[in-house]
Amino acid sequence: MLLTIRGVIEYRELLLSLVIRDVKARYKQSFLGVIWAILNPLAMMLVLSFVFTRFIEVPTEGLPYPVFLYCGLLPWNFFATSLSSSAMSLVNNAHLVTKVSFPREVFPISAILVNLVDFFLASSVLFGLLLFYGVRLTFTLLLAPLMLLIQLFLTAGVGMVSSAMNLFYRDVKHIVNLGMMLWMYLTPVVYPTSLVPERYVPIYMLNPMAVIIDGYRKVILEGCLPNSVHLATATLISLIVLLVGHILFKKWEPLFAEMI
Amino acid sequence: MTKAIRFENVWKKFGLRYWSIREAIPSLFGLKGGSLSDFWALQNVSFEVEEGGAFGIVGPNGAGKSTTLKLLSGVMKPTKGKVEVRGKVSSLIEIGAGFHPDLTGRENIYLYGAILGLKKREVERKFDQIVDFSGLEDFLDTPLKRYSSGMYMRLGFSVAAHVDPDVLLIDEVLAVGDIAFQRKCLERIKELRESGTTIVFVSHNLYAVKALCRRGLFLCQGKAQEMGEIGRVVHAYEDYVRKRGEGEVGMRRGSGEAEIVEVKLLNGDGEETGVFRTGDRMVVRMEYVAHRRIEEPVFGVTIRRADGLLCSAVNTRLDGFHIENIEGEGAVELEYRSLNLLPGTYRVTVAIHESEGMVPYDYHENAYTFEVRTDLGDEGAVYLEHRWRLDGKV
Repeated sequence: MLLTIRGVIEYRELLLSLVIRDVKARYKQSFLGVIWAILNPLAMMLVLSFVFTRFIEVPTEGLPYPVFLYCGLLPWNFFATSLSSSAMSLVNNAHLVTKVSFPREVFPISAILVNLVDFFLASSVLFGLLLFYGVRLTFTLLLAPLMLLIQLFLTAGVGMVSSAMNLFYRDVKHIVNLGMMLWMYLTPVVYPTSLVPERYVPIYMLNPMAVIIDGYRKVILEGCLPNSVHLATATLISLIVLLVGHILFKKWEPLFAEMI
Repeated sequence: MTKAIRFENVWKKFGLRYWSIREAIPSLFGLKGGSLSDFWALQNVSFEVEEGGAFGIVGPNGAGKSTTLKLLSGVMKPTKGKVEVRGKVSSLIEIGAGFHPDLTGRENIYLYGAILGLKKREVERKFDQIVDFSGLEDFLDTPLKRYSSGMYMRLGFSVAAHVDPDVLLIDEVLAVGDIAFQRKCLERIKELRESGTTIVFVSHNLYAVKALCRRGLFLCQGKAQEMGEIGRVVHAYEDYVRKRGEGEVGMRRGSGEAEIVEVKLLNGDGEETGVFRTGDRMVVRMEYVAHRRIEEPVFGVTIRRADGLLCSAVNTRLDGFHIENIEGEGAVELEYRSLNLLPGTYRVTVAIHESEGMVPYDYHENAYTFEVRTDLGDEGAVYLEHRWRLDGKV
């Protein structure tokens, strides 16, 4: 693990180059360019807000639903798109995997970082919404980066495993997409955690994404701290996922060039 | 001398694989489909290259050449045996791997540099050199997708050639681009070799292999067939090709910038024929088209007996017959005043090469056939003019 961190530092220029390549390439071609990064979650937020305020009313403890929703949708989108693009990262870079030798973590990690750029761009909308609805910000906002860090651990762990598995069996990308859809409903993206029946909560909160999304809302919108037991559990699980994911990735790495 | 590369009793196995879980499930239960056979790409191959040495690997397709390079570059690990490479390795294995078509030439230089392990500062330092070598100054801000395939390769080679590795792996890079650039590449590779870079060179271009390397390896079906001095290795490979290709018309290759469009075998009366008699006059007339002006071309003709025996190989450069340049249509004639071959079927190879004789513009291997007949009773390959004399007591 330590070796890998050193490796990543050594290859940071390559990592950066790959991220720049993908970000530039993505926005050069399209007419609206960077605006897409904002337009996507914005459009989703508008439609979902309409449905969940007019058709089904979701209680949000006094918060305006659009802000509430966007605050969860934003990190969730980052998680979901990161996983589906990191799952494809090795296969999409097949010509590099079979020809040039460097640590292969670079591929799933750069795929995640590309989506992180989008995440930051789309965050601007959140700040717009906060201003628009006059949500008062508090110092707990400073804990948001911690949520992001835990989320990155989890994403990197799952991303590494799925990128390698997708190399062995191309079905894996479908499994990832299906899994992401199911996972979203088990995560408080469109609804608040308060709707989860009491007896399910201990199990529900074993899902790190549930704790993370809930955590973002608590520190940004509600100005309070997340439940420390839940947060510690989520951090631990995310770190274990990262560690196991990385061990598996390294174990399979020598086979990549042959399997493509 | 220290060794830069040690390849010790290397075995490499490829298992056949499943592409989807559906295909894989039967094998879990030991049903059919699970017993796919393995394939040995390399079997007990060993060689060493000393620091600063140039090592050539030749062999037919599927011999294990590319696998060898992949093991050297560290992309793959051997199944058995040991692979040791000292220093920074760079591959010209697939030029331009990692290029992005939507990015400009300039952006791609930085990207490809990073992929090949250069720091941004190093790319900056070498940027002018790279651009200069590529000759693409005017296209630096053009997206790569607007490049021709030739320009693409130029850019790729230019970056790769300036990485300054300790060990450089080269796979068939000279098969592309125009002749002028191919020569430039060869020059650059020679330059790197002279500056102490260890080189492993895989190519079907045997001239280039011989020109660049001192030692080499001939691989066939994953096994080393011959190793050592490059002349011997290439010879063993040529022997193999000949035996396998017996009775076959060989391949045609070359850059196509100049082409041999018609080859005529003429007899003493200037008539085209396929049958000669021992001692006849024979003229090989090669009609060519040069699609652009070509400086100092070299024409060559080889005659082989049907069983592959090399009877004669000549070219204009070796004979001191200097051709300043060619452009458009024309013809070159080679006259054998007396064709002293004994009966049999013979095959003619004709070629136009660039001035060093390393890269062909056009090459027709064993493409023309003639037969020799005779009234003589000699046995052997050639008729050597002779006379008997008896010197003794009558």
